[in-house]
Amino acid sequence: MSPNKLTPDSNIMWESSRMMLPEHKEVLRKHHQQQDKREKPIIEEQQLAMFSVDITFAYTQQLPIRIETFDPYQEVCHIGKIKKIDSYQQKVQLTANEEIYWIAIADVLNVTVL
Amino acid sequence: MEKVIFLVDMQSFYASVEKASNSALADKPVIVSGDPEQRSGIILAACPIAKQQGVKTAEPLWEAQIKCPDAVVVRPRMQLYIDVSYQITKLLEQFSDLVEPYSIDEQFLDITASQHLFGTSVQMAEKIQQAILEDMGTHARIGIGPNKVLAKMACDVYAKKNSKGIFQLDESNLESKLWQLPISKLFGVGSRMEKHLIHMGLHTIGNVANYPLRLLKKRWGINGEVLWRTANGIDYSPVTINTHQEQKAIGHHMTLPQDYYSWEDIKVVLLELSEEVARRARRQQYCGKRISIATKGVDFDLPTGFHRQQKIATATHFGMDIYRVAALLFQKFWDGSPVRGVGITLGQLERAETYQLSLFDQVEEKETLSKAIDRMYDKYGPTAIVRASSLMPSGQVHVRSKKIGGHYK
Repeated sequence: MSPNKLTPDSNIMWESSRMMLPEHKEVLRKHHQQQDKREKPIIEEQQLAMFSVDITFAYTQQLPIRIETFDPYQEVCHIGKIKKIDSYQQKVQLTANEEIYWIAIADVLNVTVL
Repeated sequence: MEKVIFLVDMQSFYASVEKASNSALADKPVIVSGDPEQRSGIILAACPIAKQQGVKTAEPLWEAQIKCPDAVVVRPRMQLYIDVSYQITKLLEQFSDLVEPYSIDEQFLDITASQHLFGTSVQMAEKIQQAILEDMGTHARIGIGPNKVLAKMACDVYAKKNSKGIFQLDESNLESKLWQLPISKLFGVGSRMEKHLIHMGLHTIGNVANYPLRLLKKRWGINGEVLWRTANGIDYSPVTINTHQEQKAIGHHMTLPQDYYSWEDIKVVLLELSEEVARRARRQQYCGKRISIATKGVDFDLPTGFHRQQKIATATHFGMDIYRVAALLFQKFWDGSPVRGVGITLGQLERAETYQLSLFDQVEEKETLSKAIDRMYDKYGPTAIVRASSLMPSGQVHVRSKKIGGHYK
C-alpha cells in the first residue's frame, strides 16, 4: 500500500497543505546541497611523492591502477591503465573501457596499483 | 521520548521586512499590495498599525485605503522575502539541525535533542524570538507542542493573539484550551468542511475529538481520520529537512492580465507555460510522463474551469511535447467560456539519466537544441530568446520573467 496522510513517519499531511514558491524551494535545495559539500583535504608532499612513484610504476609496467579524485559532492574513483603522463601540465591520461580521462594530479586523493 | 516541536511564524512577514529595510516606515501604517492595475491588486500583508485601523489581508487595495488613508503602500519584493526567509532558516539552524520551512513565513523546528542547551522550551522560544528580532528586525510568534499539528495550532490560535507571542499546547491543556474552540479553528477545516461538521452537530473541536472515529472514517475516509487525530492532538509526522529535495511534479500556473476568450490567445500562453515547465524539468534533470492542464474560469461562484491529465508513452522534458498534449486536452475539454488562469504540470517524474529512448523520435537533435537554448537562458536571462508567438499581445513571457509568485521580484 502506498503511504497516505496517516502513515507514521510520512510527511504527506504537511506536504499536501503547504504553500511554497518554486523559487523558495530552489534556494533550500541549494542550501542542503551546499551542506553536503566537502572541502578538499590537503595532501602532504610525502604523500604526493608516493602517488607519483605509484603512477610512474603503473605506467611503465602498464598495470591497472585505481585513482580516487576529489569532488565536492560525491566519491569519485577511476580504474584503468595510464596511457600518458603530461608532466608539464601535471596531468595523467587514464583509459578505462575505451574511455579516456584526463586527471589532474592536484585532484588526486589516493592511488592504488592493482 | 516526548518530542518538542516549534512552529515559528513571522508576524505580517512582508510588511515587517519592508519596515525593517526602511527605518522611515517604522511608525507608519504599512501595506504591501499587488499592482492595482492588475488582478493581483490585493493586500498581501499589513503591519500591525495598519491592521489596527481595520485593514485585512486579501481585501482589495481601494478598500484598505478608505479605512487607512495615510497608509504607506509598497509593492511586494518577492525575492527579498525569499532571501530573508532563508536567512531565518539559517538562523534557526543554530538552534537545531531539524528545520523544515512550511511556507515563506512559517518554519517547523524539532528541538528535542538541543533543548537542554537553552533551558526550558519557553526560554528557548524567547531566545529564538530575540535572535530573529536582533538579526532581521521582525517579530516571531512561536507555537510549542509535542508534535507539528499541536505546535501549528498553538501558534495560530494562541501565540498570534497573546502579547508574548509564545504558547504551548500539549496533553495537559488540550481539553481546556483546544477542545473549547469552535470547529473552524481546527487545522485543516475550511469553510465547506465547517458547514458539514456543524450540520452534523459538531460545533467545537472537542465535539469532533469525542465523536466516534468509525463514523468520521465512513464519511470522509482518510481525511476523516486525519480530522479526528488533529482534534485529539495526534500527529506522527517528523520534522524533516529532505522534504523539499524530491520533486513530485513540476508545474507552472498563471493568472492572466485579462480574461482570454479565444483559442488563438490561449495557445500562446500554453506554449509559454509548456516551455517554462520543460526548462525547469531539464534544469533539475527530470523527465515526466504525466501532463496535466488546469484552467480557472472567471466566476468564482460558477466554476467553469477544468483539470485534465494525460499520460504519454515516453517521459519527456521538451516544451513542444508538453505543449502538444496540453493543447489537445485544452481543445477537447474547453467549453468556450472565458479563461482567467491556466496552469500546466509535468508529473510522474523520473531522473533524466535513466529515461527510455523513444524509437520514433529524434531525441538527440531536440536535446542538443534545448541545451543550446538553456545555455543562452542561463547567460542572458529568460527572455534572451523567445518564440515569435510570445511577441503577440497575448504573450506573457516578458512580464512573467520579472515576477515571482505572480508579483514583481
